[in-house]
Amino acid sequence: MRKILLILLISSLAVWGFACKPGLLPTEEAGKPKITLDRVEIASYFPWVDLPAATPLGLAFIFNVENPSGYNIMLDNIKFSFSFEAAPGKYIEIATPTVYDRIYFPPKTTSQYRVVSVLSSGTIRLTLLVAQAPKVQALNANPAELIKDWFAKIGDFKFGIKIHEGMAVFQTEKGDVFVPFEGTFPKK
Amino acid sequence: MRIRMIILTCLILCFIASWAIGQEVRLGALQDTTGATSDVGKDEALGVREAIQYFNDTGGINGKRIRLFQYDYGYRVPEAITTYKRFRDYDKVVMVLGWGTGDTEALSPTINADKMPYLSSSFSGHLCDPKKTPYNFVYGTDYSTNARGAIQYWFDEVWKKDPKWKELRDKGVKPKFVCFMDTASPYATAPIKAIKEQATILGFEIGPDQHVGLTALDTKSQVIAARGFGANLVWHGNTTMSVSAALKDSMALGLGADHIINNWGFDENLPKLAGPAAEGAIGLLGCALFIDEYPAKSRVVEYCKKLNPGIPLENRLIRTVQGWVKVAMAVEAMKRADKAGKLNGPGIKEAFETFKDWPGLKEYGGQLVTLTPTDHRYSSIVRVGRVIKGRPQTVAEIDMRAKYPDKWMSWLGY
Repeated sequence: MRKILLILLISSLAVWGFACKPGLLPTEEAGKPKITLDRVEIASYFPWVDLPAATPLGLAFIFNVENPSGYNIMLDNIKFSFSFEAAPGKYIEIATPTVYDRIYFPPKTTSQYRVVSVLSSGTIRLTLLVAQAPKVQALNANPAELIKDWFAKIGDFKFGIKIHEGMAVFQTEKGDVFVPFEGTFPKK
Repeated sequence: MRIRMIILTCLILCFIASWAIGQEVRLGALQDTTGATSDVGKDEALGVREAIQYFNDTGGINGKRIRLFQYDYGYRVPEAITTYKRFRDYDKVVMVLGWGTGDTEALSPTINADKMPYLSSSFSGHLCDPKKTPYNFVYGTDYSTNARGAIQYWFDEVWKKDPKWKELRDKGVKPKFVCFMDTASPYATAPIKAIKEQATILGFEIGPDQHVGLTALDTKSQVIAARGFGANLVWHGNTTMSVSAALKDSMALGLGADHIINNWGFDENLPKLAGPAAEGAIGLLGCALFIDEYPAKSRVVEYCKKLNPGIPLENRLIRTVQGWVKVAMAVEAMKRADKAGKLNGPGIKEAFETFKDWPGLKEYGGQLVTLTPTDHRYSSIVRVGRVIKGRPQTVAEIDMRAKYPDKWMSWLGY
């Protein structure tokens, strides 16, 4: 009797294991999450004040997060850099937002995920004078004029914003999944 | 009965396993990726993130996963303070990886009151005396010891030997020395007292300090002032970008002096930015350059590709390796504290203070680390580099404790 019960238990577990396999694994290539930039929004905007005074600017980056797998996945952290177009096809890096809020994405869904980056003309000026100084010099650009121009035009997105060096780390029951991503807005 | 026991055992094992997997160690990291030191800060931040992933992939802190909270504070001290409060009050981190001298020194009274271990990228000598800053730690030879080592190297190996200076040497002229640095920056000013004292020990004539901002692109007036003094040697206390501007102006205006550079101003980017003006420049190195060969290189490169495939390897700097050094040291202290059952502030501090000739950083070109409850100087070894044929490379290691045994203890906290 006991043997029969044990066999039944093992068999039912095996059948449950096969029957309930929910689909693609998040760790296999086709089941990996995909991140695409949907759009950039102005989250907050203030009247321009000439440098060296700082004018704040809030940018929101909205990403589509697709989970084609049959499993729940948890976004553990996401980081990316973004650059503004300084001359046609020439971009200058502005900042690298990183977010550590954990959020789950259900199986076989596409969700939207928003990252807000708070900037100011002052912080952008420092970036242009230090880390990005070689690129600014190569373009023979004046940092102050460039920033003022960006702040004037950003409401209409008259220049490109590029997302690069993007990396999202998902934790799944099948292991960590690393998802690189990039994108441009407005899409041309 | 037996079946019930099997099921019960399985359930208990599953519970224990999920509890163990679910445990995590929280770690805060302040970085400058957009501010006045972002020319070196962004690459270090990448190294920290990549190293944490590696240590998580290889067992974390004795099986506990490290959860990193890494934020840019733009080199703004007030933002560093508010971010630290978030680490302490909401993220509940067990220790912090800090960045600049200004924010580390500003936060020092708070972190010491909070008993929060703080391993910073500021190697300010002021942070190495545990009587004053018991919870501050650094992961490189302190700025003051480094600065003394740099001027000592130049005096012994260049001034005394280089044909360039023979005529002045034969005349018995004292070498003339000036400092270029951002006089408003705690980082740039931290080792000035020490280097001037060392210059006095060596018999130099010291000229007036020249203020060069961390964001300076034009340093002609400072170079002209140094030329007017007749400087033979210039100390550069800033980061790579403004140091490269000063080197270019020095060459263009025919200063004729040699250059010694603090560690955050000397890296693979310097010859790229300053071109031939960087040739022969002497600088300080905290560990191996990214372009060097070192035992951990394959692992460092693997995680560069794994976590940041969009960043070309040729753009990587020594700062990436420094990020690994910082994390490796923090992980070792946390592992020791955890083994002792004290994975908390006081436990991690005590664990750091058990480091005795710890060899873990040799894999990254770092030094053997010894820390004690009375001395938080990471090492007395100064690694000196030089730009030769457009490429920075290590040229010497000087043990300042061995060279000045009678003075070494009096230099603590300098």
